[in-house]
Amino acid sequence: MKRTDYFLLTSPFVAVIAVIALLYPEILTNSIIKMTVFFYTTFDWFVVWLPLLAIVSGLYFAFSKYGKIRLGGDKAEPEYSLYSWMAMLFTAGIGVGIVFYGPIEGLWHYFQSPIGVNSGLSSAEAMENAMALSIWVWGVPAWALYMTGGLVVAYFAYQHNMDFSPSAAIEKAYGKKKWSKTVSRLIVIVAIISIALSVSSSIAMATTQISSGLNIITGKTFTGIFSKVVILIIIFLIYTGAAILPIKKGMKILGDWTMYISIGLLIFVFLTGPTHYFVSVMINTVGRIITQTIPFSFEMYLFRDRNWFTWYPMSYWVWWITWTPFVGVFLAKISKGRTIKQFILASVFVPAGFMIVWFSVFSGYSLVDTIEGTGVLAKIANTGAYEGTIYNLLNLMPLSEITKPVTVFLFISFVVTTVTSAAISLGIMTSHDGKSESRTKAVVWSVFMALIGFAVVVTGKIEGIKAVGSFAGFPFVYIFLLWIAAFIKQIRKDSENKIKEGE
Amino acid sequence: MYLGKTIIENISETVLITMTVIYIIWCVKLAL
Repeated sequence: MKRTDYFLLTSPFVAVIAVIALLYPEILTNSIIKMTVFFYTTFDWFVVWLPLLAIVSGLYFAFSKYGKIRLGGDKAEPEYSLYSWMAMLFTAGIGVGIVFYGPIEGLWHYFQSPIGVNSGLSSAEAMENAMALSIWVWGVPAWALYMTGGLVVAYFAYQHNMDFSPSAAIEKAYGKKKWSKTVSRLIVIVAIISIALSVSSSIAMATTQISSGLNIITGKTFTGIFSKVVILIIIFLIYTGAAILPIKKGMKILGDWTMYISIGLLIFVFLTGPTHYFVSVMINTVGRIITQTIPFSFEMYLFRDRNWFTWYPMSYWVWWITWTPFVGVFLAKISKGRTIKQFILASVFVPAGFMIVWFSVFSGYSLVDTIEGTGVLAKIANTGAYEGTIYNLLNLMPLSEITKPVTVFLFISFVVTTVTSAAISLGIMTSHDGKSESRTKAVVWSVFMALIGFAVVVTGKIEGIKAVGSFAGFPFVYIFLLWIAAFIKQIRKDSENKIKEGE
Repeated sequence: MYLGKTIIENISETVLITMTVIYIIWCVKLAL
């Protein structure tokens, strides 16, 4: 049977967005922001408890009889040793986002949240709340959402020989239903468009960070639109080249080094900064998360700042769900031979553990500087120039002449590795059979993503980055429930069949 | 904050919310 031509179904839509991005960047970004605000303010009551659903269902499957099921069959051997598997999970969340948001997140909640310093709380209480909120959005709930997507993909891929596709669960579990084919196609279309758009927002994020870094390092202005566009074009040329040239091995080495350098940066700030304080922040925040998980999951902050609630936690939950096809497939691909219990517990708690350390150090440092230090970082955050925060944080540390250029390099390599792999994946997803690589299509996607990234850069709003990153993935909020339904149905059916076979 | 919307806005909100609730119930039914 001929496969649906997904390139034809998705590229015109993204092309139209890309053309509008080029001609009317501000109109495009502002319209996307408006639509996003509409979604978040209309469906917040639905989105708010989804992470808790992922946590609770995950714990149920881990500790029920289903937890013993081995992905790939009873005799499947793990492809990676326990140590390499854990290491891969540990670094799974390292990306442009955590370096960008690491130092800002805490400050943002400290000043803007309804339980921050401006709501009349003492600075100590507001600080503890800010850390709890930061680690709440980046920690266990985020990874429970990724894990759920990954578990569904892994189960159908390993137990039922389906593709590592976001629509595989529906095709298998509900293949006989009339709506199955249409819904499966829609899921693939949404996945393609949302990957293109969310990666565009990563391009924009990295461009603003690189320009700000060059500005701070050289003292010359690199933050104007012209400089940013030049940086974006250079990034575009590098990642497009990487996507079409036979340098996969080189990209793998670059990806590995990006991870080592990120961890090096974390260790550096941890050791040269107030180490005892960082450890105290971690312990304190973990405690708050344990006691606050249920209240946070139902907190609608009624009659308080709706703007803050829209951009946090709503935009984060939708953002994570948007990335689920990407991150979930990665988690699934490395976990053959693991039991469902191992998969669930490790892919939630190991990367979430890394996030707790990362945010306790970077956001923790911004907050201690605000409360008893120079106050420089808070000043920057309050002017809205978030992209400079990481460099100014490093300025307060020794050896900043070395760490700042290294951070600029980090952003370049993050964006190049992420966008290259996204362009290649999009090329594969939209190829004639959904399996072969298509260089031409990868280049077409590269161009689209750069143009949409351009619109966000020109508008220069942090809301633009978040809105473009998550807006196309909003349907995934609905698909997410369908995934869980398909998984429950299939695993129960398989288990009943196994009992019957045993009899 | 919550008041002052037009009747059309209130009705479209109700429709969207009702459809989502029906969808959630449908998913539960599909799972079981």
